[in-house]
Amino acid sequence: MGVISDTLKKLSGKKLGKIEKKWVFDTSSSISSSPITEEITKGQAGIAFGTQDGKMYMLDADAQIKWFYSIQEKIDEVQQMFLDEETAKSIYAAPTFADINKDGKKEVLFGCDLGKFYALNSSGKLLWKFKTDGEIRSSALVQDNMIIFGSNDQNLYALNLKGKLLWKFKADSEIESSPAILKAKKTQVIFGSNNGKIYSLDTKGKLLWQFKTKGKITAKPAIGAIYANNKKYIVIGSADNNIYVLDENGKLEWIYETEGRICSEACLVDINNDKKLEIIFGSCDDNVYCLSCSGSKIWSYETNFWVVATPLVIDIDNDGKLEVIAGSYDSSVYVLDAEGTFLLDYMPGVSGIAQQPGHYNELVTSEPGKYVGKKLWQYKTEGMIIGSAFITNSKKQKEIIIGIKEGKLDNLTYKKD
Amino acid sequence: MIKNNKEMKRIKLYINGFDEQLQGGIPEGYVTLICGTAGTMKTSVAFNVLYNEALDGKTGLYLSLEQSAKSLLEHAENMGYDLSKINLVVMSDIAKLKATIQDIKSAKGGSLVISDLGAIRKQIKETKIGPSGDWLNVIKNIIKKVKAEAQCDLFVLDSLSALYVLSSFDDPRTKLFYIFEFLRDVELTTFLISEMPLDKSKYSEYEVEDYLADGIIFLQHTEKFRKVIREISIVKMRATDCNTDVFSLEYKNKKFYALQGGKPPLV
Repeated sequence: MGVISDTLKKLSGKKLGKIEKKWVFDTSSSISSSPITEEITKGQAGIAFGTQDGKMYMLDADAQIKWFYSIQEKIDEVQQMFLDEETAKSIYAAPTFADINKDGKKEVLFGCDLGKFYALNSSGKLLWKFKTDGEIRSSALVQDNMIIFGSNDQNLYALNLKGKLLWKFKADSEIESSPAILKAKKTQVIFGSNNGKIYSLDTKGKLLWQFKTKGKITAKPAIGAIYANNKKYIVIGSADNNIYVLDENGKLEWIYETEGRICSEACLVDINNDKKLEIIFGSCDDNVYCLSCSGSKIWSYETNFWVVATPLVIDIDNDGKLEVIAGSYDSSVYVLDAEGTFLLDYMPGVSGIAQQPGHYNELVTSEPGKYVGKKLWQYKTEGMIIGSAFITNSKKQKEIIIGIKEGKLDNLTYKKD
Repeated sequence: MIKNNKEMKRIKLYINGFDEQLQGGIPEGYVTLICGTAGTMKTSVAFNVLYNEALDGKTGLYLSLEQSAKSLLEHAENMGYDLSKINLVVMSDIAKLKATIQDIKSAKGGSLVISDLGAIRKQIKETKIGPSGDWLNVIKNIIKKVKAEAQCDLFVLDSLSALYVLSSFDDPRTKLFYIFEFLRDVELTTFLISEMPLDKSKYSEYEVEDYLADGIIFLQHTEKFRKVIREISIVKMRATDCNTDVFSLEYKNKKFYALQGGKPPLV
């Protein structure tokens, strides 16, 4: 009886309400970086994102421009000929917020394709900049008074908070992956590189270990205690279609293969209150995946094109349950039930039992179905979705900020019917 | 806007006996591969189009990635082209692009612009290229500027094989798609010279070029009775009712001729 009643419970529960657009912000250029939201000063949210024409925008929660910074670099005529004028100043990596001058306000840190790294104050004024010899497509990590980011000149740079070089680490290839911090016995800086290597350095730039995958790594590593013990693990996707889980010594724990490249960071979230972390990520096989901490698939949901942006896992309708917000290159934002939904293989006790294979005992003791991805809502935008973030408004409602490659930033909210 | 056959303007190849097999020539704005092994007159066929179009008042850009402008012009002189009849502009310094464009603009009628990228490459040091710098961008920027400021109509890239050495093609399918789209967007009638392997096993390096191009002109050597003759044929030409037979290709009395039926060469 327990199996039947549980199954019926799992089948019920269609959600009411809808997702609607609160505002749209239109830039004059293609948006190239994922938007990032942050409380800049107490109670004041800021939304920052970069564009292909080299502008860093800062909006308030109502889409009013607080400031924008336009990259201006002197480039001689000959050098100009080597650049694609439409994309030369592109800001591909999401900006990082951090109070680097201890003024109680958060500064904005980002790099661009001209190889320069910028620190702007909370009013959008340039504090300092740092030059590298390659495009910067890696977001910065701010840790222990250090600013760490990768460059396509194959170096991982560590600067002090005033923009002076502390150390750099030369990798074997370009670094587009953003670094992450792993706090174990030793604090480690973890990042990937374009030739498929995952590196671990100590905080002085000394190599601790490396692990080789077969594809380019552009994703930021996600770090978490996935098994709910004290051990931290590294979860990172590769263009070889696999998601890798490594322990703090760089030893492979498990691997899960999808049918497409994995370009962005995975979300590590406990979706079912078992204290263990599930792994949610998108793939260029068009699917959003939810895996258990041991690497078995809980559910997947297929969109109509690549899922490049990192999904968000939040409770958008404030019902106490988490939803997965995934943007796809098919132009749609999908709001999925984080737990998935239970799909029956058959209805026990109703019909067809006699035709099921196996012993009668199997029917009553094993679950008669499986979990699959469940779409709650879908919102069609005007272009390819490259990133998302959220803010919480004064009514404690969550607003999703969607970055669209074609130059629009949408704010989507949940509304009860 | 979709053009029907009557509205479609065509660019002649200036090969007697061949243009009429293509409804008069190649549709304006198309991207065409000229493929062949070494010595099959790919460069000469492309140069011939730009020379004759310049006589007709149009401007063409010949971008040579390896052969120097000097070598190319010596070859043309020896074939009997009267270069004094056209406005010939040689571009061998990208820092002087503005002056070069001014030369084209000040000329009456059409011009033949030879961009000697080999000479430009010798001048440029790696440090000048910088982050995001790419020789492909140099090519695109030359095309855009010459097209926008000097009303250029035709473009020859000699050759695709040299381009593949000059720029990184990690993902050739995607990169070539965007290059072909760029060439269509700038609305130039384009000839891309493709060096084929000796066994003629493929028309282009990655083979995707065959599908992306609007047309393919195939040049080859064929041995007949211990004599080697050159041959020309159309492999494909979109929006064109064309004869795909193989023709003998001859250059005589300063003109190209195509002879049907694989006849022996003219004597």
